[in-house]
Amino acid sequence: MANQSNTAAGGDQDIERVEFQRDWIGRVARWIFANRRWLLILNILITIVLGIMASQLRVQAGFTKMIPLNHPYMATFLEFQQDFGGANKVLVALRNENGTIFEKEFMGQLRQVTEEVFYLKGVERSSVTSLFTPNVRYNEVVEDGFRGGNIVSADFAGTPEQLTQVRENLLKSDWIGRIVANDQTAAMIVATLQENDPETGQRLDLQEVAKKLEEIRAKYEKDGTTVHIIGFAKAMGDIAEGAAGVLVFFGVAFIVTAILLYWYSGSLVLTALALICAIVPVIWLLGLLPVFGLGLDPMSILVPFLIFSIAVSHAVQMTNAWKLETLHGADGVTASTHSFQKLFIPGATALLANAFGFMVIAFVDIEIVRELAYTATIGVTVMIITNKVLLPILMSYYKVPPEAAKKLSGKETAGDWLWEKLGPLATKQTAWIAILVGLVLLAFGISQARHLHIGDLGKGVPELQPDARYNQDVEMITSHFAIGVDNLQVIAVAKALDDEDSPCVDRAVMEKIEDFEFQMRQVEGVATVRSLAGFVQNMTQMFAETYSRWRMLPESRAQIAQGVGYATRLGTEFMDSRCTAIPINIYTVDHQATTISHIVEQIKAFKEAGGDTDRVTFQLASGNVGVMAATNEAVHAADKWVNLALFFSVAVLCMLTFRSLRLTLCVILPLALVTVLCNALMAMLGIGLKVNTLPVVALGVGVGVDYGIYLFERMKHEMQHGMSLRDAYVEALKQRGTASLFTAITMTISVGTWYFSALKFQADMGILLAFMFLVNVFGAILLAPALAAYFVRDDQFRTDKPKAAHA
Amino acid sequence: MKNWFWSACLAAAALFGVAPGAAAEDPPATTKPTLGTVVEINPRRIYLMDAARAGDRLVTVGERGFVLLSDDGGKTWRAVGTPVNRALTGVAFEDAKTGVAVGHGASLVRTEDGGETWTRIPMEEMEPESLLGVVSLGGGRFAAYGAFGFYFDSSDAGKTWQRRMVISEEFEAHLSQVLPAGNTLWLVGEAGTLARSEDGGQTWTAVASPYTGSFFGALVARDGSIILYGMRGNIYRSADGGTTWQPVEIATTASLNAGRVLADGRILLVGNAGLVAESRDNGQTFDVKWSPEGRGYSGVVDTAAGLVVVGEQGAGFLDPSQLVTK
Repeated sequence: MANQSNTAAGGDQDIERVEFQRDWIGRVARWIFANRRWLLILNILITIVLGIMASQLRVQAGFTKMIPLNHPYMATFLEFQQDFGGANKVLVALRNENGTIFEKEFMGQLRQVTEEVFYLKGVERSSVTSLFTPNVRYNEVVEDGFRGGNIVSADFAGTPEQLTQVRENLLKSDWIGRIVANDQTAAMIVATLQENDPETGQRLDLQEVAKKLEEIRAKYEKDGTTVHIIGFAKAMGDIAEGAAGVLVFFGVAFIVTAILLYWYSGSLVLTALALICAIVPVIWLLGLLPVFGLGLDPMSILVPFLIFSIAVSHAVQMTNAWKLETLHGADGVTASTHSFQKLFIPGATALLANAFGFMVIAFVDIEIVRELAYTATIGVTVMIITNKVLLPILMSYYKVPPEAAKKLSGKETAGDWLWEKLGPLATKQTAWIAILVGLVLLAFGISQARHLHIGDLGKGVPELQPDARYNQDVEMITSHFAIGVDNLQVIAVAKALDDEDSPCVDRAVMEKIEDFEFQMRQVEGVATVRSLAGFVQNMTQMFAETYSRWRMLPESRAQIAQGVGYATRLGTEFMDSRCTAIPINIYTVDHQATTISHIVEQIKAFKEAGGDTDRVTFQLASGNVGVMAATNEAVHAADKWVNLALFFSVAVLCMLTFRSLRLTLCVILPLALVTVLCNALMAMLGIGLKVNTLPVVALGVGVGVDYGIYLFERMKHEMQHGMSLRDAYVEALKQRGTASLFTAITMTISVGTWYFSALKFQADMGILLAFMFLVNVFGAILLAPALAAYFVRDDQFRTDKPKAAHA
Repeated sequence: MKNWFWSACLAAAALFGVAPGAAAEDPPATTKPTLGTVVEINPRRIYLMDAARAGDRLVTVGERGFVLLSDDGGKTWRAVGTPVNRALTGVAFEDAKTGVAVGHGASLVRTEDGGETWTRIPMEEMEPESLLGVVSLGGGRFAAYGAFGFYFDSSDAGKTWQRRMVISEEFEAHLSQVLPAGNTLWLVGEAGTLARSEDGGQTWTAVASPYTGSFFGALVARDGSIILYGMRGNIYRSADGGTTWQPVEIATTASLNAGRVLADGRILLVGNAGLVAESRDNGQTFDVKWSPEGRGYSGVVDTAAGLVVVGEQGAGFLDPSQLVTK
């Protein structure tokens, strides 16, 4: 290292003795350490201020953040959401495990739960629908017209005669499948929630509703009766509860990291310093989020973890270098300045690589992913200051005499015997083995990755684990009732011929909708289809005394209008007030991406085969499955661009660092292999490519490139000073390999804790990130040098005046 | 994902491709399968209204003018299109090859190849009213009938049709079924409509009706008694050739849509909400059961493979052991 005696400016006695490099890094280092006291105070002040700001941060989960707003489907979604978005419903089902609902005791419980739901805060009382509410009636056609009545009479007391009567009335009605299970073992209470809390006028607290519903369950689930609750509010409540569990993981990760750090460094002080410098960027990040107008959501709440892990990894490189310096006899200040000068460039480059890697995620046109990208980018950027500047400053105050330093029983050199053994990997004689293994893995990865699916692969609410109570309830309700929770809504938009025209009574328009409803019902993956056309058909049959051959769409406008008139009584379930937009609700059997894409393909085929006319067009898509369809398409479209931009930006950074295409390839190729393997792992574990897993590769590559940069920066440095590739490789491993391996393990454990999250998407991200973090280090340590053996000559980087390596 | 697309295209091509031969030799007004159908028809997802035997083949008709054919007694079905897209309400075959299907919107189609291809016969006189049923009377004679008293017959196997007056010029009730019983033809319909013809349907005489509500069908039991059935589970029986009628009580108010005398003499009536009423005494009493799904039936045929029912859940076997009492 080109060192020169220099008298440092300022009155700091310790600094004046230190030698600095003559290049710009040396000058920066001299300025920093000369002003270390003021910089330290400034850092502390910033941390306090940002800490205060961070305390005001709230976790939000805005729905529109999660959808690709610029996707054409979402234009339909936003345009018609108000009309047909469907209310915020709560469904509470009671099931008799040992019989049917027609039992006195069960009916009594149903009545009680109906009342509980009726009086639940936020429930729109007129909307409550169950066998015990007056809005549930049967209609029957009699010889001289229609006749109807309540299914359960007002004086119901549970006598056998009354129970028989209820059953008969029920059969005349169309409520079976809606509030009574098809097999009549369960009954349901359906209620709509209000937008705002009637008392406070504030937005209704859905988590509060979810909690109250859980209380109802606790009260009535006993003695052979089970209670099943689904609905947006309940799902949100359960997700929020799951997200809160993340804090536990943060605590676990912190403790595990602290223990590992102490085991590794053998020094309480160094452990504490590393932890401080890992926490500070998290505080800065959280404090800066409100400044940039960002918040935390269930997905980006994981970023602080990630920042903590990355910060630990960089801190370990720094404390490691510092310790190696002190072991060679340097005092605290000298060790700090040397560590800073050695590590600032590779460290800052690695962090910039992280930042670029995270930035490219913003290619995905979904707000929640963008915010994840911004949040992570801010996090790693502040780390350049907190880890590369603050940590050396802190360590420069740590005065350890060299003899004492030797007693610190760290593990920094514990791997040296191993690194010596790995030396041959950087020679052509042995490198082919690593390359061959790499190629075999690549072939395996590509063959598996072909099975990678877009979108969600499970049932129920994808955010929650498949075996979560909520998803079990979804399964129970959808299998016993003719109710779909997965709704793909297509809007038939009809053109009115003039202001007076009601296109939905026009047979030309209705016939298209009838055809569409019919064809969609045939499609595999569709459970049921509901639209105005089917409703009018049913009404026509009713008007024809229920004769089965009269279920048809009438020929005349007047007769169609008769059916449509009945639909008007149901609000906007079947059409908007102007009769120009008619939603067709397609309930799907699940929301797997293959199911959705198959249905969407069929819809598009229908449109192209004459389904769309100048009178009516079928517009995709609304409903939760419509949103998923758009999201899947956005993710699919973004995937290749994210990967392309990711590798391009990482490659550019490596080029700037190494100024060598050969070394860049050595670092990039193993990353590409691990990326393919990650896709293979996703396919094998049945994890789909979706909003939450798409960023994983970018995060994994962004972090994974660190190892390569740290290792090859040192290798090139040693080779410039005359070492052979093999010796430089061993030397680089001795200086940075142990730290890299150690950080890979701590980071893997840290993100691995997410696996236990109640939220499936956090668990998925945890598994995949853990894989990326761990396997990338092996790519960097084992495969990259083997590639170098073929790409790089021993004298490739030798400078004109070879010097002995600085240890 | 491309696979789905191509299979959809193949399905569409299969539908468009029915009977290329017939399409080639007949004028444009003939076989033109339902245009714009891109999906493969699922036999359990199409609303079917009537079923008939054509030799060993089962033919059932329904929604959107589709016809479903089965050559294995109802185990598997394949859909063919017809030149109409209105719901087909009735189907009848003279023999294994020649048959007629009718439907809403004055739809009438005929086939000479057992239902593979269909040709539309224009019924301008009644447009756009509905035909509700068709019956084969033997010797190439068919009768088709429907809303507002429309009644037509054909003596050339359905190629040409002549309108016949029912009862009187003023008569305009919907006609549900024409029932041959020996040399007599019975006719039932809306608002207690009951008539008989002794000349093969050329003239009709009103018969005093036991009921003011609508009849949806009629059948002749093995002992010769006549059974009428219809809305709200009403059944009437005459053991004296239609002179006197006795109501047969069953404990339901669901409508009975169709009936069949099975090979072993049992009578099976099916109806809305999965109603299945069975009589083992030529219609004097009925045993009422229900399908567990509660979905309506509109037709029943017995085959060697079992009882085939059609209705809201398409075509399928009726498994008596699955039926429930309520």
